[in-house]
Order: sequence, then structure tokens, then C-alpha cells
Amino acid sequence: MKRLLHSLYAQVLLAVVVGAILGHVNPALGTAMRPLGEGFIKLVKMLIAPIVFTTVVTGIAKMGDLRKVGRVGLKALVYFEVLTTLALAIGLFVGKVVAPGSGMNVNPAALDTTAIASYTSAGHSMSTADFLLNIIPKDVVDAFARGDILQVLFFSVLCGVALAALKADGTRLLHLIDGFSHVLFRIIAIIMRVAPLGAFGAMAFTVGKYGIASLLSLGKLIAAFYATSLLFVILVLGAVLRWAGLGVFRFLRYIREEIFIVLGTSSSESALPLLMGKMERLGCSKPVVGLVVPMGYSFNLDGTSIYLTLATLFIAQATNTQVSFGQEMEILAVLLLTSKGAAAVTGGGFITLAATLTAVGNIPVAGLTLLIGVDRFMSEARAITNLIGNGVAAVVVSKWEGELDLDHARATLANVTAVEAEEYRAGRVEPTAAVPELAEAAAPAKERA
Amino acid sequence: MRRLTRSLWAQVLAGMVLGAAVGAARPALGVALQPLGDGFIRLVRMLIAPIIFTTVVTGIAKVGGQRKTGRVAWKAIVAFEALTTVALALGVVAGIAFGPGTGMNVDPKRVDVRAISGYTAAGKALTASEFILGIIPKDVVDAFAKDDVLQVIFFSLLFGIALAALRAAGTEVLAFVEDLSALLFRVMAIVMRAAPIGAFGAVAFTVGKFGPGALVGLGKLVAVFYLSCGVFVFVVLAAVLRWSGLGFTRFLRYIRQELLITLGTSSSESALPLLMEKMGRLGCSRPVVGLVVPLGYSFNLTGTAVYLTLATVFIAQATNTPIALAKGLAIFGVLLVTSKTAAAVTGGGFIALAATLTAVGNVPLAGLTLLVGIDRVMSEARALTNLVGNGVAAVAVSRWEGELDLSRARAVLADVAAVEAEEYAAGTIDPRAVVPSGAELAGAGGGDASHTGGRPA
Repeated sequence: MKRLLHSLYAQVLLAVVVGAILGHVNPALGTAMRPLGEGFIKLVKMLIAPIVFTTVVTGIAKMGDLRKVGRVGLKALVYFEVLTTLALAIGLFVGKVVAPGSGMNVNPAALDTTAIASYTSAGHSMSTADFLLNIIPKDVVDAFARGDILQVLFFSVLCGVALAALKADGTRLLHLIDGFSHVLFRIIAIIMRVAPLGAFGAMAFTVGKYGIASLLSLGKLIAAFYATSLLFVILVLGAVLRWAGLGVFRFLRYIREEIFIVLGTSSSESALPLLMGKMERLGCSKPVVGLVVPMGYSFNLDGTSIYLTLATLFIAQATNTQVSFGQEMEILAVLLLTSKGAAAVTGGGFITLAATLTAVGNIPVAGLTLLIGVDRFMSEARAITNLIGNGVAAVVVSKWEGELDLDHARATLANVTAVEAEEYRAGRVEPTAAVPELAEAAAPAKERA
Repeated sequence: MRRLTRSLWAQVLAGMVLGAAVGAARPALGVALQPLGDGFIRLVRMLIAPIIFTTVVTGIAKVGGQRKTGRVAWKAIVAFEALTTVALALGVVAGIAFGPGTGMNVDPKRVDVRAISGYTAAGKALTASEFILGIIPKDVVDAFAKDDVLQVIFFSLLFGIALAALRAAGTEVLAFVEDLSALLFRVMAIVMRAAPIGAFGAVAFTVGKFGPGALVGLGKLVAVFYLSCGVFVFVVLAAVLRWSGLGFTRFLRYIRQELLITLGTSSSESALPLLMEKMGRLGCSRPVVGLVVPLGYSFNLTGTAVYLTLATVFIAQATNTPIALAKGLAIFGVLLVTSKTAAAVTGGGFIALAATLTAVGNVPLAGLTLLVGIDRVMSEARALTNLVGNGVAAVAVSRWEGELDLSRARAVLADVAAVEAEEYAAGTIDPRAVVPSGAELAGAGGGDASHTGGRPA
């Protein structure tokens, strides 16, 4: 019981319930709780620009490394791009078809009075040339100060490419930026501790202002997201696995332990070392696993991708914001960058979402208030989908490389318990000892759990 | 003699005397010299946000751990509350006892309020939630760009705590921030060489503009204010320091350089980095100093607190607004809040005063106009009191934390010059960390070394 109260998940759940009740019983008081939700969003927003910078720069610079590793890296990159684009597109499609947010009729001005001006001004249609010219910052620091995410992205991509081109000369700077990125994500972890407070305020406000019916829309969003994630795993990842010669259900059974760990921590990072060991034992080539799985944690976040497009559309629908086809493509393009290296850290998806909304411009960022309360409940499905996606990626790239021991893999999957028992007897592989540099990456995740 | 002319405080003093002479002899020229003073303050101000960031972050990361940071911050806030409340009370008592505004019979309707419109606009009272949400930056870089000290402190606290939590994984970033800190203090050392020029310009302007004559009309208010500040510093702060185990006059002598720079520029901010370094060398725990002094510049404005109550009472008296006891207590309560939010709005005491009058209601805001002319003269005492208050707060909180090296502090205060010179010669002061005063010491210590070195050992 004590452990349960300590878990953020339970706290958020409690806060959401209390908030919803307060909003329903006393709408005026509930609406007055707005600053709590608003403050939480502000805390997250202040870090968007620097986090986008550090993650995109390190991501691209490390991608340079990846290419150096050669064919395997290139294949992994191609696979990651295809799969995440597919996931983004599916999220967009489901968002359009199910339309979980339509009918909420949320007025963004009521969410965050200070920010109305920026939406209305951004709403003006721009010519293509203006749009492109506006991506170039007037001054680099100015782009950060104003929090213009497109401009920050532009500069970050340039920096990342330049850093990758510097090769050895750039390692010190890369380490430093990587270090800053760790600190920033740590700050996010600290901020997430007040998530229950934010969730309470946001929920009390949402229900107080828009009535108990708004819960229905949020429930619809969660249901749509879980269904989409499930379909993605079974249909898309299943098809990919089938191509590699394996069955998806047996595969899921094989990695059930990792799935449970992720479920407990809602961060796919925590199961990274375990997953690597298991993929090797399945018959994947060791170097391929060593490359594909860790990189996949930055570049192959399938679950996060589905969530991002779905949530973006949800906010647009809830605030009655018209999204044109061109803007949908823009959302996709921005997400292709921001979803990479968004890190499989708890709260990472929320940051990316905020960044995307800021970049797209006419969808009110204040709409995030609607999601604070329910974000946690979707992060489970997000993390699990990410995990499965990375396991599948290891199998597929191994197969593509012709380095998958298919007979061994089939035998393992056919009789999971027997194989596992044998392995236990032989002495279980110590996950962190096998891959020392990953022990560090896993440590903070464990601490959080 | 050579040593004297090379020391910064002597140069600042000379600059002030010269400035006063120029301002008195040629008022027009004195007024024209204003850019020198303003320029110096700008030079310092441009470095404040990054210096606060680097010192707060390294301070917390080295203390290691949130719990301790929380405790120190909590103690600091308690100390600040206690000191500013005493200061506010002192202002009320002095205002009522001496009645500096009584008999002026100013009609608020006939006062030209144009001169104060800028302040009244900025002084719009903030609600509590607006104030708290305002501490969260819109964007981290924006906080630095706008030079919003509270926002910078907030982010620095988060950054420092996160860095401490990362432990070994954060060493690289910590080392980088430390290097940056050393670099900024070095830049500050270069800037401080211009302090005598800044003091010269600022004093020449003040004397030239207002002259000795301008003070006569409101002389009583100025006199009461200086007296109150004097009482606060020499009675209240001295008692706090005595509790910490140190002598007050020696302490003042130790920070004479900072006092002179503050007096010359009438801005306590200009001495902030110097003060932080000096408190560390006195034997206060450096992480404590790194937290208490920057926070104190937002929340421990004791001189401003004395000024706020005194000025409010003065305006009420001058405009013949009766203040009942209940109203007086209300003013006191409002000031407990506005004297803190003063820091959130750059521009300091005057804006806080406008905010207070707005919030209180029946004391006419137009009365502020009376104070515009002499605000500059009073800001000297305000800034000095703020400075001494923050130095004392750093000592007291360190002592409270049990992290004051008392024997060292006593030795330093007993023989300021000798200890400093010795430390420099022994190299125990990291030359990178030694700030402007380090440049001074380099001259002093170098001079001493050549004396002793001249004799055969």
C-alpha cells in the first residue's frame, strides 16, 4: 500500500479522480484550480527549446557515428525511418477517423489567457517563401529566447550535421551537450514529481469548465490510443516479424518479462539491457543487437510516434482548430525530427508533443492542459509499443543482414519455458555486466522505478 | 602610498571625492557625466544573470542533494523574513516618531503626476498566483535574455539539483559550469577596474543635479531615513553578527571596498559578485553563500524595507491623510509582500512603493511625485543597507548551518590585510576564484613579497 502511494502513477490517478470530482461538484472552484495546470505546462514549456537542441544535436551527431558503423547502421536507420513514419501516419489516420476530441469545444483563450495573441497572429496564412524564410532565426539566441521551435530545430540540425562532420574534433563538445541533455531530462524528472498537482488542477478545471462530458472525450482518446497501439503491434510489427519468419504472439510471450518491467516503470529504458540479452539468446547477431537496440531507443519510438500525431489531432479537434492537409504534412515532418531522440524517458513524449505544437503554430499549446491528466495513462502503452518495436527491429535487421539463426529462434519461441529454464540453470546472464555502458543508462530508470 | 593608490577602494573613494568636487563646482558638467555612472552599472548588470546561474548551480551541485539545499534555502528565507520585518517596523516607528512629512500640507489633486506615470504602471499589484507563475520562465533562454533574476534563480536551483542528482554522470557539465563561473568572475575583475570612473560619474551627476540645496526642502525625510538606516545597521545587524560571534566594525572594514562601490554607484547589485567572493573567503560555506546572497538580493532588501514604510508614512503625513492603527497594520501587511515582489519588477524600491500605495488605497499615489527628486539621494543609504544586510545574512545562515569557520573568520577580520596577503602568497586562494579584490591583492601581495624578498632570508 505504501509503495502504491509512492508511485507517481497512483498519485496521478488519485489526483485525476479528486480533480474530476471537485470540478463536477463545485465547477467554480474547479475552474479556479487552473493555475496549477497552467503552472505545470509552463514548467515543461520552459525547457522545450534547450531539450530540442541537445537531443537533436546529439541524435544527429551520433547518427553520423551510426553510418560509420556501416551497412548495419544504414539498414537500421532505413528500417527505423520507415516504421516510425508508418506509426506517425497511423496515428494521424486514427485521429482523423475516430476524432476523439471533436465536440469538446474548448476555447484556448480560457486555458491560458496570456497566450491568445500568439495563436491569432500565427493563424495568418503565410506564403511559402515567408514560411521558409521564417525558419531561419534572426539571431540564434533570439530563437531560443522566443522559444521558436522551428528555428531552434533548424539551428540544431545544422549544429548536429556540423558536429558529425567534425568527427574526433567534436567529441568533447558532443559529450558536453550530451551531459547537458542528461541534466535537462533530470530536471524533467523533478518536474514530473509535481505532475499529480498539475493533473489535479487540469482535471478540476477541465471538468469544472466543460462539464463531466469532457471525461468521455479523454476516455475516447485513451481507448483510441490503446487500440491503435495494439493494432500496430499485431498487424504491422506482426507482418514484419512474419517476413522474418517468426510468429508475433510467441515473440511477445518470449519478452513478457521485459514488458512487465516496462509496465511497472512506464519507461522503456528500464528494460533495455534485458532486451538486448534476450535478443542475442534468440539467435540475433550480437553486433547487430548491440547497435540496433540502443539506437532504436532514440530513433525507433513507434509508440511515441502514434501518440504524438494522435494527441496533436486530439488537441486540434478539441479546440476546433482547422488543420489543413499541408499542416498535417508539416506536423509529420516536424515529428520526424522531434520524435527522434525524444528519449524513452518518462515525460519525454509530453515534451515532444509540446515542442511539436509550438512548431506547428496554430494549434494552441495551452491545449496540453487537457492532456496532463491522462498523459500518464497513455505512457504505458507508449513504452510497451516502443519496447516491442525495438525487439522486432533487432530481429528484422539481423534477418536482413542474413545473420539471424532462424532455426534457433524458432526452437526458442516454440518452447520458451524449457529454453528459459535451461538458461537459468546455466547461470543467468547479468544484463548490465554484459554491456557496461548501458548500465549507466539503465540506472536512472531503475532509480525512478 | 603606492599600495594605497593601487587599491581599488582608495581609487573609488578618490573618484567619489573628485566627482563631488566637479558636481559642486560645475553642476552642468556633473550632470553630463551621468553616462559614466550608468555605463558602469550596465557593465555589472550584464554579468549578473550568468553569474547567479553559475554560482547557484555549482553551489548546489557541490553541496550535493536536495535536502540540504532545501534546508539552507528555508533558513535563508526565515532570516530574510525576520530582518525585513524588523526593518519595516523600524521605518514605521521612525516615520511616526519624527513626522518628517507633517506640516507640508500637499494637495494631491494639484500635484503633477506625469513624472511618476511610468512607475505607477509598473507597480500594478500582482496576484499571488500571477507572482508564482511569473517565477517560471517562458523559456529558459528568455529568462537570461530579459535578465529576470527570480526566473534565473528558479531555473538555476532546478539545474543544480538535477546536476547533484546525476552524481558522476554530471561531472563533465559541472566542470564546465565551474570554468564558466571562473571566466565570468575574471570578466568581473576587468569590469571592476572601471569602478572608480563609474563612482566618479555617478557622484558628479548626483551632486550636480541636486546640489546640497535641493536637499533642504525634504531634508528632514532624508535625515530621518539615514538615521533609521544607521540604527538598523549598527543596532540590528550588529546584534545579529555579534550572535554569530563576529565584531561588527571589523566586518564593515572587511567589506569596505564593496561599501564604497555601492556608495559610489548607489546600486547594491554592482557589488554582488564581489560580496559573494568575499563572504566565501571570510569562512562562510561557499554553497551557502552561493544560495543566500543571490536570493537575498531578491528577498532581503532591508534598506528598501525601511524606505518603503518610512516613505509611505511620509506621503500620508504630507498629504494630511490620517492613518488609523488598523490602516497602519494593513500597510505593514501589504509591505511584507510588496517588499519581496519588488525584486520581480526591475526598478526596485520606487516601483514597490507605487505598488504598495495602490494596494493600500487611501494614501494618494500622487504623493510619490514628492519623492522623485530625492529618490537618488536616498537610494545610497538604501543600497548600502541592503548590501550590509546580505553580507550579515550570509554569515548568520552559515553559522546557523554550523558551517561558519569561526576561527578563520575572526583571524581574517582581526587583520584583514595580513591574512589576505598571506593567503595570496601561500597560493591558498585559487587565483581563478579571486575576484577584483584579487587583482587588488595581487598588487598588495606582490608588493609585500618584494619587500620580504628583498631581505636575505
